[in-house]
Amino acid sequence: MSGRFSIGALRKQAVAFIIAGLGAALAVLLSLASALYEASQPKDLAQVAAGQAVDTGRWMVVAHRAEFGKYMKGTPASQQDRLAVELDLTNRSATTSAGPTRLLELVSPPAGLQRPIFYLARDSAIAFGLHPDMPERVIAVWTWPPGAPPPQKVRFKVASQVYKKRDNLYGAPGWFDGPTVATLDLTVGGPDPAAVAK
Amino acid sequence: MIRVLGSVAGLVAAIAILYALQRTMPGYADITKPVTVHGAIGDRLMARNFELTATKITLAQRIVLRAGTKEQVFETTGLWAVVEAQAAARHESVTITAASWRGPNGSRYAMSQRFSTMPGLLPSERLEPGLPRKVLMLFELPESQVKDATILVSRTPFTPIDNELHIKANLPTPLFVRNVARIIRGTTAGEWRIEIQ
Repeated sequence: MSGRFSIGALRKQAVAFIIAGLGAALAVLLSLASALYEASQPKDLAQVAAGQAVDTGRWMVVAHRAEFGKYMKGTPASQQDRLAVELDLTNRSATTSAGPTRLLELVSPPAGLQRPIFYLARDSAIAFGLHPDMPERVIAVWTWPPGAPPPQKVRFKVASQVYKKRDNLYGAPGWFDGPTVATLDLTVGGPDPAAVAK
Repeated sequence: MIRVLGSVAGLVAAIAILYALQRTMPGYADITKPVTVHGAIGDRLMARNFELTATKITLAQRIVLRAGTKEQVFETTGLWAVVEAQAAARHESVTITAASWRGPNGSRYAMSQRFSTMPGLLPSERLEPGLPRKVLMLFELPESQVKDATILVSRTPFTPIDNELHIKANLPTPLFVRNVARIIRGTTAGEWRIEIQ
């Protein structure tokens, strides 16, 4: 008749529950503390200038120059002012991909700035497909909102893209937007004299 | 004692089985991957809703498109592979929008989209049943990915459990790279021919 009700067994069970609860609470606290600590210690971003290579995961990026104006070599003619950045892009993934429109983001963009369009420098075609392991000179063009002051110096955040073997929704492999890996500083030159003369 | 050992062994076995299941679980891409149809250059390959025979591969440094007297030159940092094929629909009209060149290291080079006005390109031709058409596929490749390649053709870029043609592209060694592949637009719509230099 001792198994029917026993204070000792109940106490044992209570102690087990309390220990398990304390363990879980400790784990939660530790992970929260480490997340808070990491957020409070921002990593020093690499600062790159023209001509320096940045590895962003999916793309190897080398920026060459920035220019501002209506006429630019390597892009179709336009009526609007545009900011153009000449880049070398190398696709390091295993499949052809379009120009990465989220790769460069202006740190203090004028209101109403849209994402850039990428053109191939070789024939001004829109860069629909950049192939694996084939470095390509491209020009990223941001159409500048009318009325916004023309930029003298620009600073970009360079975003990474990371590969996941299984994504969180379907478990499908793919490339996803990652954290910022570097900041890029460029001095904006005027339009290319050769292009204006044309 | 035996009881404790038994339960420990059971636990270890359960962990091992779960680990094995986790490691071998097919991913989404494996579950939905296309059903392949294998063949070589010159074989008439049947997919569920189209048929295609790749007839010829030409390698060239540049592609020139001539329309009337106007010429447009397409350069590349690697090589161009010009693949000619005969294609037709099987049961109903169909447009084939996806072809890629899979190199020896597994990289996939999608059909080039730099040609907006090229006649005879596979994705711009609507195929009809019983009316085979001469079509073109143009790929831009680095030199290292030309040998031991496979040409993959499917109706759309993402074809879950539909057919994908895998055409073995065996090119002779040493590679014979032409200077120019000139594609000349004919006088009637969709008509073209290739001149090699």
